[in-house]
Amino acid sequence: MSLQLPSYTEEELVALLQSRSEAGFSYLYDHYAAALYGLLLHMSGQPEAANDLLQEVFVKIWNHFDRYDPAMGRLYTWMIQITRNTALDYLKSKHYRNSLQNQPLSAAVSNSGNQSGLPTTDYIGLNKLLDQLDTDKKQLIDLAYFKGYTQDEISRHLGIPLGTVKTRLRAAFVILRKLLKDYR
Amino acid sequence: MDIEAYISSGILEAYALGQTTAEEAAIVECVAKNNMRVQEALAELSRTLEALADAQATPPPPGLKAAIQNRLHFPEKKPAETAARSAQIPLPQPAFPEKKAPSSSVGWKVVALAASLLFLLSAGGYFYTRQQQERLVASLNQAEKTLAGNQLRLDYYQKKEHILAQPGMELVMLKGVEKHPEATAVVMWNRQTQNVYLDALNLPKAPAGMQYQLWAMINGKPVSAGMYNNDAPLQPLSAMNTAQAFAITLENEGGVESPTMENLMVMGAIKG
Repeated sequence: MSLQLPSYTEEELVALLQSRSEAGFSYLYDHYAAALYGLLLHMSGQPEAANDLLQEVFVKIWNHFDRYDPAMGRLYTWMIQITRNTALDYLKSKHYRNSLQNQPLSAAVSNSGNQSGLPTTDYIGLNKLLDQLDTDKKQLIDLAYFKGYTQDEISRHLGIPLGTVKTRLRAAFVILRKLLKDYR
Repeated sequence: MDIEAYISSGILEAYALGQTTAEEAAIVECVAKNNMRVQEALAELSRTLEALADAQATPPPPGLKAAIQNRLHFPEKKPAETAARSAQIPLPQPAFPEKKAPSSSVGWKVVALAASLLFLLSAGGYFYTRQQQERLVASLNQAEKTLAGNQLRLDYYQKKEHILAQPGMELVMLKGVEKHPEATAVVMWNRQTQNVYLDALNLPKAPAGMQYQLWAMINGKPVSAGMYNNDAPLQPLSAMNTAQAFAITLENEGGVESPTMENLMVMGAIKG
């Protein structure tokens, strides 16, 4: 699935949101909710948590829209950052750590795979796509992007030098970009 | 250190992944602002992460949108307010536009680091000087504008002084009518030479397509004394040899035969 082509340009949509337009919000949700929800599902591994987190994400986007600066990057990128930070905060929270104890070990160790009857095939599609990366690159993307490890933490966690983390992460990005292009 | 080495150092990936400290992030942003190659590399990384988000897109449960919208505050539309805002006169820009303060924890250290990094990246500190140059040009432009404005004002007051110095010049104070209590104007009239001048700087600026028209009241009848020209404020108006009062109305450009009384702004009787 790819996002529908928007009929507003990003500039127009930003102007609508800046004017606090309800129609603007509705359009934003219709066009971006699926992508942000998918990211939250992937990161939290829990549909119920993803529901709550998606609400939190859109409330943040709406209430802090004045902090979005088009000169610093695209709207989509900004929203992804908010979504990812919200999910990472959740992963660090006590609530999440407690919830892990109530889950089978396999789900707690790896949040890949179609747990709890997730309603989609795209989710599996992404995992297949990530599976095409070498194991070490896949692990790097997972730790760095989906789990929010710093490069220092990755270096210690994997027992490899910091310089190697940097070069491997860069290589992983190059391959990921190519895979995503083919995937579309 | 050249720009290619900087790009391939892995710092941009770390930035895109949110792994940089606030300080490192501020430096990346500063370098990106000044270097197209870095800017493009960052945009490419963002697009990859956007494509990754697209690839895992999953429709959320149907009730969620309404639940979120219930939690948001949508202001009611107020067209009148918007119109009023657009009618406001823009304030003059300060000579140095206020800069956004860097986030508190970051501060000067970052500015210094970014500046020295820019020196390294760009032989001869090209970007640094370009920024300084832009700032200098901006303040010069501002100074020129101020100077031009002062010159206009000086010309006006010199001309007015010259008119007032003429022997036989009478001043007629025009006061705002009930609808325009703030408005005032001064007619300078010389019975001998019959010259009439108008100082209308205290009237609001006439809207586009409209002009102030001066009237002389002669034996109870209004006679047009000419149109006030905003671009030539002390131009002599129609010659008058007699009048008991002066009044000003706002009229369509070019003026009218008889005054539109609803648009009467100021009036004043001649003493003696």
